[in-house]
Amino acid sequence: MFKKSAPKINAPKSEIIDTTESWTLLFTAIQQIFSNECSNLSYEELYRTAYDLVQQRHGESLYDNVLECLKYRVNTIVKRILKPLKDGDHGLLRDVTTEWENYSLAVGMISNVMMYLNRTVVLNNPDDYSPISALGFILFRENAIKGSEVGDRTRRQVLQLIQKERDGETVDKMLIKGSVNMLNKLSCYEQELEGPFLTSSSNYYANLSQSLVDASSVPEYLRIVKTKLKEEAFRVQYYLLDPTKQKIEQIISEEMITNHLGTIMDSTSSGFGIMLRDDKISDLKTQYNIFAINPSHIKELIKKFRSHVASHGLSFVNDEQITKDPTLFIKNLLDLKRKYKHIVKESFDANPLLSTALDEAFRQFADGTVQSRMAEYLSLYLDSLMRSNEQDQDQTLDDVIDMFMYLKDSDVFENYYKTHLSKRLLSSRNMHQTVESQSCTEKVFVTKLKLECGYQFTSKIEGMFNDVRLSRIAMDQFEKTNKSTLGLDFYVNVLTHSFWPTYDPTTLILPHQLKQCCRAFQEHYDSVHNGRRITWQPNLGDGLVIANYPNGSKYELLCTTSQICILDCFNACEANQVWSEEELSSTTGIPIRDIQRQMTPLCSSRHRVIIKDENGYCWNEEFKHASTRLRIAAISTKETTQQVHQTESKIEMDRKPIIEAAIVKIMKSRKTMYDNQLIESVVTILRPTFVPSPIEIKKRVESLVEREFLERDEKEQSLFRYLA
Amino acid sequence: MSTTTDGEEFSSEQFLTMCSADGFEFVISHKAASYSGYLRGLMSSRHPNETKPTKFDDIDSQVLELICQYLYEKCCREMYLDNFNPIMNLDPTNEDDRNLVLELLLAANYLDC
Repeated sequence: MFKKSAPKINAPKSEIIDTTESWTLLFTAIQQIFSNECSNLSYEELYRTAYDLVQQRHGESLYDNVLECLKYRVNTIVKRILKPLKDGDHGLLRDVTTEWENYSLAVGMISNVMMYLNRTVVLNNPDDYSPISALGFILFRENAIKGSEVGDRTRRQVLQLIQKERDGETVDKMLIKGSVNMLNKLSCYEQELEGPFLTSSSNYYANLSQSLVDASSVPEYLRIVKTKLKEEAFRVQYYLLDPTKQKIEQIISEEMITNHLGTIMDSTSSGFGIMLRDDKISDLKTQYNIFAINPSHIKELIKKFRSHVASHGLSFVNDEQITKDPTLFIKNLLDLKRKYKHIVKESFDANPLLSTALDEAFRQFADGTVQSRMAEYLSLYLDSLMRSNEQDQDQTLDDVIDMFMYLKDSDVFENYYKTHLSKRLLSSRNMHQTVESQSCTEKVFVTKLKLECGYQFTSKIEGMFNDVRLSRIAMDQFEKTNKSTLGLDFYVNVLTHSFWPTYDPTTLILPHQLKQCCRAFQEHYDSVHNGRRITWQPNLGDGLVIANYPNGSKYELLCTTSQICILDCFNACEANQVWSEEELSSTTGIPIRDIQRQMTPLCSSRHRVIIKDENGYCWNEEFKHASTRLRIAAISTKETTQQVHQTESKIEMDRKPIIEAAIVKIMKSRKTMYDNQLIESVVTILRPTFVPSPIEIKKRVESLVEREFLERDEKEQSLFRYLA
Repeated sequence: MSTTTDGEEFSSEQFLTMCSADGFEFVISHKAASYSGYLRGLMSSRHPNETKPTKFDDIDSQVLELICQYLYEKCCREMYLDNFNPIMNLDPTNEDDRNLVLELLLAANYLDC
């Protein structure tokens, strides 16, 4: 930067400006700007004139004059717009928008020129004076839109055009957009246009829905609603302002859905229930998306969904045919779950609220009467699954675990599962397989169970698998040392007592050969493992017998050890000797009612090895069959009511020590506790296994008090103390 | 003599020519000029390609130069301006500098920057 010599201050011009002259100059300029002839005007000159006026303290009067100019101009515009009535109101819109555009441009220019005013007069008195540009808009709004007919007629025109478009005509969207922009700039869009638009739309959709809802099916109606929503969205996008979109959506939702919610949900011909039943995925999706606009609609949807699923499930539960067959029953439930899960995923956007509702619905009907049989049925279903030996059951197993989680009393399931599993593990077809190739499905299921319930729950089951594996190894050893002496293919599974279900002691009398084998094994085992006691349970085993017929045919029969003992009786007798049940019972040591059970498969029409008549059982000489190897052993069936009661009481017995153990554990750590607290804690601890009733817990507490593990407090009846 | 900025950066920009009282011409980009209210209004009321210089009969070249520097500083730093160095370097005790500052105040008021 260079310094000049002795700069002088340029003092501001002190000439008194002729205000009239200045004002005339500005006034003419403003008029020229209004009539679009401003090309000759010099911005600098005008600005300077305004500047000088303000410097000379005439700012306020300048402002007032400008205001008058603008006001006059607006009134002229209004007169011009309202004068002609050609084209009806259609021309009005065009006139209004054109006038407005010219006016706003002019105001912009004037504002530029008068900029100095904004920094002085306006700044000093913000309450009384607004900036020139704002002033221009305010005047237009007050005098043209609100203060005259122009506003009303514009609005009427716009709404008419919108209605025409709704009826299917094409209209000039740009025209409407121009008006909307104008109102927006003037900040009276909401009041002048949006409000009336929403009201008229409300009426329109109310009428529309009324006429449609009776005439069309629910899915059709919903599709129309969807189209209308889209239409309105486009409308807003083309020529309305964005905030209107949500408001118009709410209106459609209100008029077309809320007012007809009952019909949509409950219509027996095509309502929500029907759509669910028929798996109408895309229709349900449409409905869900429309309902999503209003949260209370979604709530209603969830409610109806839950009750629909619950009643559907209940229809299975109450159907005698289905509940008779456990496999069918469980399969139906699984299919049901899968169906609705699919619907939730595809149509309801995997909304977690709906997944929860599905769960609750299942819990609702899985509870109650079915609960007691469900554990058993589930286990039976698993049993048939495992026996079917199909590969790739992963999905089904996941579904079964799902069902399992609905059971309140998982120890009932554990009981049944162990029973069925033991039958599967001990049946002879598994004996000739190695444990590894043994159905992977079994192992997979146990793993999943472990994931869900924890290690403790599955430890016994894994123990069972382990026993079978160890038995294999033990038998290999046994065979090596005792190979030749037996003359029979003999296999023993050694079961650890606590892992396996409890079995009644057996009175079965084995044939001589088998007895020898057992003795040999017992010796061998005692020598290997000192101090262990073996109890023989031959009624669990099965074996292969070869039946030699006089006509020369040989049949290999796969049957239970008990059946083998019975058949052995026929071995040592005359060809046509008839054995009565009592005789069979006393020879083999099997109780009479079990005799019947064991004999039924042998006498069945499929394998009539034995003939049954009024006197007893007799050997069937004429027996013929296509294949040489036959399986006779019975498959697991569901228990009779009597057996169920037995199982239930057994489980009750088993639960008693568990409850007591829980009580002692709690009391030991807490020392003293009130009885209702104690009950709560016990329930919490035992919940994963089963839900004990408070009465039962109280009984156990009493029993513990008697046995002096706990004592009651002398002063407070409900307080208990732990006795070390 | 004229003060110009780096030509390459603003080659696609429009320029405004300002003429001081003592005949010096200052060319600044439209972008920088827009930081002055007066110049903004001026540009919007003119044809974009017009190149006639605007005359400032009451603003000295020194003052005008400072103003141009200021506008460019503002333009480059986007309104974040703590220290305007040329002014900071002025010395309040020097009479010349004081006069300069006074003139600068008046011009700034006029030009709205």
